[in-house]
Amino acid sequence: MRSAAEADLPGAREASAQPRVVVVDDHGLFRAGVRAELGNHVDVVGDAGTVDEAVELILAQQPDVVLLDVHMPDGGGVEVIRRIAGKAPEVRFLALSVSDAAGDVISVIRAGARGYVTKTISAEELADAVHRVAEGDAVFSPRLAGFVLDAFTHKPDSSEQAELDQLTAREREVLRHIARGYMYKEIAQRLGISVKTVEAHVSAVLRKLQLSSRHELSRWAVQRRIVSFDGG
Amino acid sequence: MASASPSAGGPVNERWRRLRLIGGRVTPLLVLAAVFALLHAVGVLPREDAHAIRGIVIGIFVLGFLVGPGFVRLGRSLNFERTARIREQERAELAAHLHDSVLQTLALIQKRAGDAGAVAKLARHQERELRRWLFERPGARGGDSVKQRLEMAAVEVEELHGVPIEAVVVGDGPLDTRLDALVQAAREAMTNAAKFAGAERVDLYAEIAPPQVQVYVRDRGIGFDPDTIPVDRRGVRESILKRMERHGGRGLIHSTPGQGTEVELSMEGVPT
Repeated sequence: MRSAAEADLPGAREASAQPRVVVVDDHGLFRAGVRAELGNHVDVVGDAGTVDEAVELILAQQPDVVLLDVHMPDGGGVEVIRRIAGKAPEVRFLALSVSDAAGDVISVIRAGARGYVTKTISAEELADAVHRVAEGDAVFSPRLAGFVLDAFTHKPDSSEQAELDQLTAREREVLRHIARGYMYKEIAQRLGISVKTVEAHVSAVLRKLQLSSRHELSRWAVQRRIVSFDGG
Repeated sequence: MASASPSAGGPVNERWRRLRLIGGRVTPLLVLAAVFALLHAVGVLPREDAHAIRGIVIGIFVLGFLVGPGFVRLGRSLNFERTARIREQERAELAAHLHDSVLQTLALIQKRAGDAGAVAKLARHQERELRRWLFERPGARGGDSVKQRLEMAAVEVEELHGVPIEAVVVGDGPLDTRLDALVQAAREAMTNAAKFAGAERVDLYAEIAPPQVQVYVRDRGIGFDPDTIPVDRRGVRESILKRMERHGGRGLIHSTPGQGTEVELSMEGVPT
């Protein structure tokens, strides 16, 4: 998605100590929980329980980060991102889900989310992820790193391989470390590079994921039997 | 096809009856007409009969054309109702499943609300169970694969020791004796991490890309000095390192006191 790529420009947004956050989830209990947990670390400026409410709220508030549930009625997180995309390109999305289905997670990332974390994440880690996304970085949980490695590792056949932007050895190495449970700082230390470089690699992976052909990735999804249940 | 389930609603049954009635009458007539037409064409029938039969044949074909479209329409709407009925059955099955699993667990959680550990355990167990039910297609479970075995081992260790294990497995392949040993070693590494590290969670990462397979088990626990593993710690020596060696693989332990441990298992020459 264009907006995500543009948001990578340095200085596109000034990093503030308290990012303004909107929480979108169709479970009221979960929204209340996140508000309580994040209360001290970020500035939660509102929450929404439906796609329509979310779009209205995000356009009105223009938050730094939207914590976005992947699964919601009426199109879920992907639909929210689609409807915001052209109107508020500054707003960044961090997907948050209990879902294990690779297809769902990959589609919300491809729609433009800057990262994906699971709902079992601790409050500190979540706050850290929000700050990072607010500063324009990508946030990969071990699970997302695994999904992405799987998506790019799979080679349908040599003729079509060129279509899919392959990951560089370094990008692969960074993703492997994330999947192994290492944090950016630790990865930087182990690979002898700076944290900024680690972040740059992750952002590059995100871009490749968003730009590679839809056809190629859906083929991958079909072959892995992870296509989402239609309408289910 | 013709055996509509007895539990189906009245209108559907009624339509089935009508369809079978019409089908039962029209089909033999059309077959009869075709047979006569064939006989006529071949010239088997006497000439006098042929004229009369030709009239009958034409009449039957006309009847077929008149009734045919209605017949097809009826068939379609019937199909639609069948689909709706199947959907209804699926919904009922879902409701039943939720009742047996999620609602029961929620009831248990309410009862044990005071015991934070028990509540977390119940919730995690239910989450995993529901996920399995939602995302694993019945067909996909046939045969043991390395991925399935590793994920299963992670779940077992987690439930046994109450420490969450975040399992991420990339790629897959069929299980053989050597890979089975690798899974056992990984299981032992996860058990050690859950039992001794005192970490909040354990990360399992595996990359199965025959001919190479790599597995990492990592925790952010207390760590230890790998050079001074006590001789009696059979788990590490026998179950992990020696086991890997016996099967032509390699086990490495990276650990720093205070920072945690990572066990690295690798195997080459795995059949593709």
